[in-house]
Amino acid sequence: MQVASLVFQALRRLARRPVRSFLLLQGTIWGVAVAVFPSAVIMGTREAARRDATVIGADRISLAADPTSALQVELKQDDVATARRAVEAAGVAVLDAVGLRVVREWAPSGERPTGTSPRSALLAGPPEGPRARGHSLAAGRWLAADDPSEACVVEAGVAAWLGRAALRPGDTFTLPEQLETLRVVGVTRPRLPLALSTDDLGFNLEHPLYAKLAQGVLLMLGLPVVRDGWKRSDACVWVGPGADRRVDWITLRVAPDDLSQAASAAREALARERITAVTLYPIVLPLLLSGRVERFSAVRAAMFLACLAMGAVVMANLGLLNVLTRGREIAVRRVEGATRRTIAAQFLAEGLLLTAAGSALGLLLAMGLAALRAALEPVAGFAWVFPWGDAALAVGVALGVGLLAALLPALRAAAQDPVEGLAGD
Amino acid sequence: MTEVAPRGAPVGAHARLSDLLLEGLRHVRRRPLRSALTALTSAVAIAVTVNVISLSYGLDQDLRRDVGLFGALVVDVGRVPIVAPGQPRPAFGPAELERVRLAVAGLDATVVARRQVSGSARPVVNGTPQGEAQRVQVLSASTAYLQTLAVLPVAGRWFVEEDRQLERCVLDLALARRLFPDLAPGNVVGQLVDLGLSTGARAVEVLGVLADPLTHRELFDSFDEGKGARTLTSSLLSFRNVYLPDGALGEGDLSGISTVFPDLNRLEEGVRRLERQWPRLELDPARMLLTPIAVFVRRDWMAEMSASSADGALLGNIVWIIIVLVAAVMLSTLHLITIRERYDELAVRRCEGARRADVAWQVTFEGTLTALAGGLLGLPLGHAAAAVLRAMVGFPFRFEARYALVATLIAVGLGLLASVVPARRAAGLDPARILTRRLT
Repeated sequence: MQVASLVFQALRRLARRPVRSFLLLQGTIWGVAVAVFPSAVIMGTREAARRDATVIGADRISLAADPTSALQVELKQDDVATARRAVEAAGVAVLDAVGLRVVREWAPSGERPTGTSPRSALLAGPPEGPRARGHSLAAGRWLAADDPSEACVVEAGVAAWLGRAALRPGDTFTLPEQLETLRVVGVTRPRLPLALSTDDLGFNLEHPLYAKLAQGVLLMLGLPVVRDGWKRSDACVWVGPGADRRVDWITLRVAPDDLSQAASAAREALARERITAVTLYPIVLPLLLSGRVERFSAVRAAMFLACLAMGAVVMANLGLLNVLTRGREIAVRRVEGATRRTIAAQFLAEGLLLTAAGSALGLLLAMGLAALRAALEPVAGFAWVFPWGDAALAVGVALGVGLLAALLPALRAAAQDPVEGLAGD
Repeated sequence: MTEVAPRGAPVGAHARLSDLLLEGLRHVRRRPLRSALTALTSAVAIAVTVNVISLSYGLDQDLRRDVGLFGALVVDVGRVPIVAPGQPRPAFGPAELERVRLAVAGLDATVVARRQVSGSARPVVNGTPQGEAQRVQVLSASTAYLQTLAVLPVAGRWFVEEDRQLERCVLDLALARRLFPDLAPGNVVGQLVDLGLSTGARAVEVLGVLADPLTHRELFDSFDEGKGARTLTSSLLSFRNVYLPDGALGEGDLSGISTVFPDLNRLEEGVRRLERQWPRLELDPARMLLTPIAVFVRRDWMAEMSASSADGALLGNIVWIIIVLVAAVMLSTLHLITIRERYDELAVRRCEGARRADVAWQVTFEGTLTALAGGLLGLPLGHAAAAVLRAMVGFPFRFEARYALVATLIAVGLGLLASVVPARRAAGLDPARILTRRLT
């Protein structure tokens, strides 16, 4: 019998009882889903973290003085160099290392007492400061080391904050309650909404589950409240560092894969200089990027195999039952000239087809679960992709197990005596 | 091919349990391979269930026990960990200590002030500091500090008043292991540590090593990317500290003041009085009022941690519930198909006088019996799986007898659940129609 004919017959049987087949395939469906959906999320998030690193801050480490130390600590420009050297000594390439001073902040009216909502600010730092914080230029140029003190780069939302139609390079303006007139040399591009709602720990503050769930958990785990609303306003004005050596924030930019290692190196280096600093960077993405979650793959594999085993056992059981109820059909086909091998092949084909259908539904379920998981995650950058390699492996194993499950009924069907099969009825 | 029930099958209106059991066993004996396969489905589901329950509830239990060691009768006053660089820093020192002392006067409370700074540490071997200095948190407090925790030294001892001016320290076990990886805690006592502090480097002798209250430190550490973001105050309970005698970090500015109350009533009174001085720090973001200095009731935090851990354990239930439901759906479908095979047998039993309810009971009983048998088989299977996963993942998978009992009950539930639809189908059969079709 040709393969096509075998498959056709198997398909017909499957189509005759779609609901029953669907129910019996639950083991395979959930097995494949359990195996594939975590890979979909892990791989998707890894890709997104590398691709959108600037947007979600997956390439940024921010250090600030610890406010709870018994010895008041101030960060200085020299500490930026110390942190940079330490990170480079750890074998990590530093893309930017800047020290920023928040000269003045303007709180929006009606701000919550946490002071974490977006704020306008006047920031002092080196020319690469805005770039280190994820800005890109829309017009004009970045500041240069020899620019006069009134030269500034304005973020895209500064014009709206000041009630002006637009700000262009060459324009001058005065900030509220400030005397000095500033002259624009560059204007940054508006950042994406996600960039404006993501904090330095990598959480999307606008995500509905952040305020409901994540924020409380973070506070409980001892993560501090950070008053850095200026990072999310797109309404800051950047000027040169001036003569003041003090800095409020050190920002290091590295490749997303080096985040954890670089942060650790910088923190250790500052500690050796007796500086107590808090180190902020996205705390979930490094777990996925470093592959530390791979330690769960054994659990995943166990669940996958457990589901498949249940599915296989049920399918073998059903197969055995089929052999009994289809005894007459098997006998007639044998009398018509079908060999034992053909009969066995038919049962195997049916088993394989069932498993293939279950695997396909399992992949669909996996993608649904992955999309739901990514949507429910308040960490910025969670995404999913179709993990081709893992999906192929899971389906391959499922088909193998399905084949094994079909083997028992197939052998029993092949061994059946046609005379007995016909006489018995 | 179908078989008709043999003689001796329970008939009549009141089939007894023993009859049901006998008939169930006969049914199993008639189809040994298929019954074994059905039971195996239940076995796998129960093996997974017992593992998931043991893991999630075991972790929850451990975490709650750990948290319980963090000072249930302690109230802290200190700077709220708000990172706001450039903002003025509130004064917090001897004046605040005096206010706390006055507030809790008469409540028989112990007030412990502490200073915390970060520094670096290296082990000293043969008089020379070894290796690269590692970041550590250094804390100085009075001899009463240990009362703020339910943790005791595993080696050596805690400070006494005579240690005050001496260059001595106590290490947390996790730090002792990091600094002296090759030494047992007992041998760390007496070793020298080169401490790098803002006041300069100094060699201090290890006087004792404190027990580690975190049962799953290695597991939690490997996922704790947030440790760098914590302030010194928040890192206190990470138990990776170097403790120095009171005054060893100088006097003046404080990091926190802990007050240990003798009982809950006096703690509540103490909190009331302290709240007149500073607001209480709420952990609920919606109610959180951020002030520079606040009263922090450790019980609040411990309750939040415990509740959160319990929520996590509840979440773990989703996994086994899905597995059990999947198994139930598959078993149910399988039973339904088997019922079709047994139409004749059931019709004959109805003709012999069995009521619909008897038939439904028989099907339910057989389904439950098979699931239970499988469930019992799943217990050793789960035990073996727990051992393999523990070795592979390093997760505290375990197998506890009480969870095995729960799993057995779940197996019975699984059997019942999987039998509902087949039992209804069996009870609803019309014996006359089946037998007429058979005869014609």
